[in-house]
Amino acid sequence: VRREKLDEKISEKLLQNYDKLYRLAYSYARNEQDAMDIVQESAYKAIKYSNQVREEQYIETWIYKITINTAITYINKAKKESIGMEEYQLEYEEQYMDFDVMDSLKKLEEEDRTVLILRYFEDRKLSEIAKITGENVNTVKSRLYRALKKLKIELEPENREVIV
Amino acid sequence: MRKGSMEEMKKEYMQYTAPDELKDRIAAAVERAENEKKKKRTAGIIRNIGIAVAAAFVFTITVNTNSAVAYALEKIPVIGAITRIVTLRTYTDQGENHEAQVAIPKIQPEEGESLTEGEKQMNQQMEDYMSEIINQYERDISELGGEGYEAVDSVYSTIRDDDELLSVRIDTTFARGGAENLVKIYHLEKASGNILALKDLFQDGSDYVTVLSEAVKEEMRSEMKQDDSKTYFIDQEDMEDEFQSIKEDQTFYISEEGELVLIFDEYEVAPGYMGAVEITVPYSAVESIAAENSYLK
Repeated sequence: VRREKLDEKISEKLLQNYDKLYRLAYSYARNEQDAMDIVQESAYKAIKYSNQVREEQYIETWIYKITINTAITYINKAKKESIGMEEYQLEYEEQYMDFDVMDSLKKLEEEDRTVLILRYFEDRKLSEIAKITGENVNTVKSRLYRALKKLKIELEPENREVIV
Repeated sequence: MRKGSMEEMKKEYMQYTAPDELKDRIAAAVERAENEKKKKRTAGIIRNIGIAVAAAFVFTITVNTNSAVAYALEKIPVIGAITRIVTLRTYTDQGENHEAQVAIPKIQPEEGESLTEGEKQMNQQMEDYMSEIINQYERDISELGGEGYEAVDSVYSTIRDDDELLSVRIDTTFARGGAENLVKIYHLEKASGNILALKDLFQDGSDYVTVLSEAVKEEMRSEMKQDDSKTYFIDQEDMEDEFQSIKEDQTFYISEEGELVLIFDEYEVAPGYMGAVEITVPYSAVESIAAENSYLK
């Protein structure tokens, strides 16, 4: 019974947060169809393997973790299937000619980008991000610094305090 | 976009919203996963209903005949939950670059009763295991000498408590560099009052380590074939981490269906993204060496 209740909670969270998951998946896949596939696959895994969630408070962390892993697997597979990396890049550049935030984010390493998105766009705490990525808080911080530097963003004062 | 503004970037990022159909696709994925799990579980539920009905029958008789028993029964929250697991103590530590939250479980005797030898032994084993974890943490902290980061978080849960077995699972996460998940499960056999070890599930003198190791490898191969996202350290070109054999006291539990499930710590048999890994061993693989009353089927 307890387990089914947990599944219910997970399913609730999935339906509440699907826009967030979609955006994150999009930052990896950079097209609508693949991003949706990633989220759908992640939802399936989140329920199927829900016995790995020990406490309710970790449901969101768990969902993010799965989505990121699924996105990485998906992207790696896509890269392998296309003849070369350049062609894959080209393919999605053609789809999105207008440069926007996703193009800026593309400059970043996958791990750095994810940390930046979770911290600044989704307002996740550093400790929580560390749980999601399985890294320690210091590593998460240095990823953030590196990402910001690469984006050449001058942080506004209130933001600067957050990570220092 | 105005360069240099995080707010602007965020605004743009937020404009990426999912197409409506995603909601339906998530609901469908959830349903598919639930159905798959239900199918696997049905056998177990039918068995449990049987036990519950039998138990309810016995209870009715005692309740009617003994008001003291009726009072005692009120304190039992779930049918089948007959042992109380409580937190012996919690070890906590908080520093700038390190933190620990370790709950140590123990079996609590009912009021006026004392623990059996087996229960005492299980308490001791759980306490020893937790001490090992705390020592490891303290050693790491002193070695780090204020540099780097380490956190340990350990929680326990009762995963089975019926008239056959009491099983307490301890999940520990070490975060240092990467995170590492460790799982340990302790079992107490209700009938004998003894601790139930992996070897007890098999006939004396049987080479269960080899039999189980082969079954695990078989299962890993088939899972990898069916699901691209799974990777185990098996049949690799680089043999360095290759999985060879289970441990004599590999962590295990018995599923509701009566299948033996072996648990491997993170990195033990698979890359980190797989987390701690559970491998189900089909009964057919162990049938010939299973002990007479092994709980397996």
